[in-house]
Amino acid sequence: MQKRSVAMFVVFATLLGGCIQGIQDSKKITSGQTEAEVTEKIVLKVFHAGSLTEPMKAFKKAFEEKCPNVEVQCEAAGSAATIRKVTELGRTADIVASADYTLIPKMMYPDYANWTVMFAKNQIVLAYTDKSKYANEINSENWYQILRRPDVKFGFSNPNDDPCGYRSQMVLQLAELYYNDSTIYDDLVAKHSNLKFVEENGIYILRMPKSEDINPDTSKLMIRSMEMELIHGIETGEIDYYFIYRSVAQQHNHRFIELPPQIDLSSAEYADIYKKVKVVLANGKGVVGKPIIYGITIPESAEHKEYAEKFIELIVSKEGQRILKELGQPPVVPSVDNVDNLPEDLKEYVKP
Amino acid sequence: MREVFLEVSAEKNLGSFRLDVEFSMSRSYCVVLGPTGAGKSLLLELIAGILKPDKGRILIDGKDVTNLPPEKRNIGFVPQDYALFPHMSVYKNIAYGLRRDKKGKRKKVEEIAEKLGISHILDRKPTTLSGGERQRVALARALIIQPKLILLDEPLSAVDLRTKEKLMEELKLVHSEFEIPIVHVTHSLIEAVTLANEVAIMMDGKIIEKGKTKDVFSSQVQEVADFLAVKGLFKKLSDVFEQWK
Amino acid sequence: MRFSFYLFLAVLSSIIVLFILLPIVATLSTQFYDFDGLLEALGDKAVWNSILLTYYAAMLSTLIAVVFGTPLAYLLARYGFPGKSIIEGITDVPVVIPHTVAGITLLAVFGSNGLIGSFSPVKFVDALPGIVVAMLFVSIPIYINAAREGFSSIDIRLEQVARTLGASPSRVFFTISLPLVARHIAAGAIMSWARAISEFGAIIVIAYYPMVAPTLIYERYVSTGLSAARPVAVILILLSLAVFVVLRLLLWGQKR
Repeated sequence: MQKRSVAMFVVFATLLGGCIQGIQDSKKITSGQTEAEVTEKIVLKVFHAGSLTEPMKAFKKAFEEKCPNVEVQCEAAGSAATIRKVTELGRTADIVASADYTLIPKMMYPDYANWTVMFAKNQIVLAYTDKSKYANEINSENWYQILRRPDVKFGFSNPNDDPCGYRSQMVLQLAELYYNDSTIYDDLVAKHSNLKFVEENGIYILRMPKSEDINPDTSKLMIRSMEMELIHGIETGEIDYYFIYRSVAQQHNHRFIELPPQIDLSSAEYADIYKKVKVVLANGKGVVGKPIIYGITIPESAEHKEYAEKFIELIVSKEGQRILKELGQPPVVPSVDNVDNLPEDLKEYVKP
Repeated sequence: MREVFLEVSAEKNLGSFRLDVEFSMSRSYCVVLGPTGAGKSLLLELIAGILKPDKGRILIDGKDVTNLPPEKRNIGFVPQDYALFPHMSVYKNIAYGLRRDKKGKRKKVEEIAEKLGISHILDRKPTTLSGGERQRVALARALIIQPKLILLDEPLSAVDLRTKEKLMEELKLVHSEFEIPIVHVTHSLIEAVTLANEVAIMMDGKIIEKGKTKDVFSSQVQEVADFLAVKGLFKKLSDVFEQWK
Repeated sequence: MRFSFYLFLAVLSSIIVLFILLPIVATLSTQFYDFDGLLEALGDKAVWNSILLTYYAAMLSTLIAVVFGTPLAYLLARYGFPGKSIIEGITDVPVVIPHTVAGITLLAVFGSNGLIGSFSPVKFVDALPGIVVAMLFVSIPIYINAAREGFSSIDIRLEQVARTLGASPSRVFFTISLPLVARHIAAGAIMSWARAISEFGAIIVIAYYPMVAPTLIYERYVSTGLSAARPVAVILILLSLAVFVVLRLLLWGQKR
């Protein structure tokens, strides 16, 4: 009996010791791995914002046809979470694509990346289905009146978690200015939650409470962490309307109404108007209203930079821009932040 | 010919095994003898009402009980490993079959415990008892409901030889003192010879011979003779039996 | 020879224990270097609210599982009936359904326009009942299987003898079967409670609010980062560990 427990103990202790040693050694092992992998199929890891899921699928297909020795693996998450996978969880990605190009400079420069290509834009729309209440009545003029009706429920994603969420807030506040009706945000959101815009020097600021303190009246508002999770709500009829990117609404075959370009964050033309609204997130970061532009970069830690460049080349090429357009995601003339650091091959595609 | 007390005429299909029994006994001590797998336990389950026959009927004292559930049959059942309720004391085990009337309960339990010599272990848990004690508790539990009939399934298979002899004496005593007919299932010739007034021999789901012990042991039915001969004791035992009578 | 067998047992067992232990120890030890973060989280009311809500909802879910799951477990353990294997399959289905899908299907049933939600006076979406049904859905197979194993392990002769002693099937169930599986039921309830606490995927679909601890942890991770999420996770792990150990000791003590 005693012999047995001694044996158990000895083995356990040795293993524990071995594992701790192993953890310390693990870095050396991973750096040695890359050479061995070359002969096998190359795996190109793409971490991207959830709203890019459909275009990324199309890019993956097109790219794998071009380079049969490469397998593209896509991972979707919120834009901030996507970047954190690289910066905080220490995972290796060959490409990072964010729904808000400013997040890349903010969260990744200078240690994890040092340039950003802006390759697509988007716009916030109000999406719904045939079963939504007043679906036959709603249009670009009366949408906020419809949302005001007490029996209508609508949703947006959590501004703290998802750019689509804080952009929805901006759109609603901009609507107050555009329609000259200072009660739109109050009636639709402020009355039903702890979210409230205050005016400071001509700028409208929403200071986000912590997510657990948003306290939405759930009989009027549905808030979910990510835009994708709202889709369950609309498809089961839990909510009637939700604010979402045009591309996502189109890809899910939801009906949607376009909002005036002065408020829907789609147009560089109205950038000065968008600037009037600002959201300060619970983590302290402030975001000012601006056109929705997608950013993409290759992290410093990428294992296959060469193929990653080719992948981005595909996205900014004519073919890539055509794919984006088909999926409801209006492309932009690609531009770049920190052009000096951009890989040479990509320079011809972008305007500085 | 004595009066028929229990009559079983039933068929039951259990997939690979088929039970087809014609069995009867008088108010006596009846041993059902047969090899392992003959269906002896199933016969007891039929009588107790645990198993419903596909066809046929079961009469006890002239009353048809075929469709009565076990709790309405008033039959004491002592299975092979005694099945004492492990979470109850010996006292509670014995008292389980009594209805709620509190006053008489204690007395009845003590009375029967006294008769079976287990008064001193009433507060113990079944797991702490010896094989012989367990059997007595199981018997007491079955007897307290004043059953019309007691069913014993291999009651002596789990005890050593010395206890066995003693318990056999006790079983005889129970039978005579409580005046209750007993069906005792076993594969042991010794038990049959020692205890039985009547014997039935069961093989492959059928009763192939039954009657007074003496008659069965001198049976000319080939299978019966074979079975007893297989036991290798036929000749010897029937001699012993002759002497005893 | 015997020694080498014990060695074989010890090596393989140690590996699997370490596999479980290492991530937990790593999380806890990293937190140790950020003790201020832990203190801050300990003083955060939102953290405690979410943890208490989680435990409370998990308790309700477990109670429902015990009340409704025990009879089913008994039925499955004791009786043969046509369609039994189908019922057994159905009770296991929640184990293989991806949790997000489970959440979506629950929303389809308990949502405002759902099969039940449309007429139910109880509101499920973004409310405690929604959390409870999500927890129940994912944890009930664990409870049913534990209870069924318990009932199957009872010697059926005990129940049969009780019947011959004049007890009705219901009296047999309450005086013989149930007391004998009490330990199995308790162990199953603890496991299903634990499973309920850890649920996230299904809950976040039907009830993002009020926030249970796993939602809060995820939320802190997404909005602020690992440094904000980890202390909450550490508190949940340590507290749940403590509760487990106490419950297990109680069970163990009873056995003695």
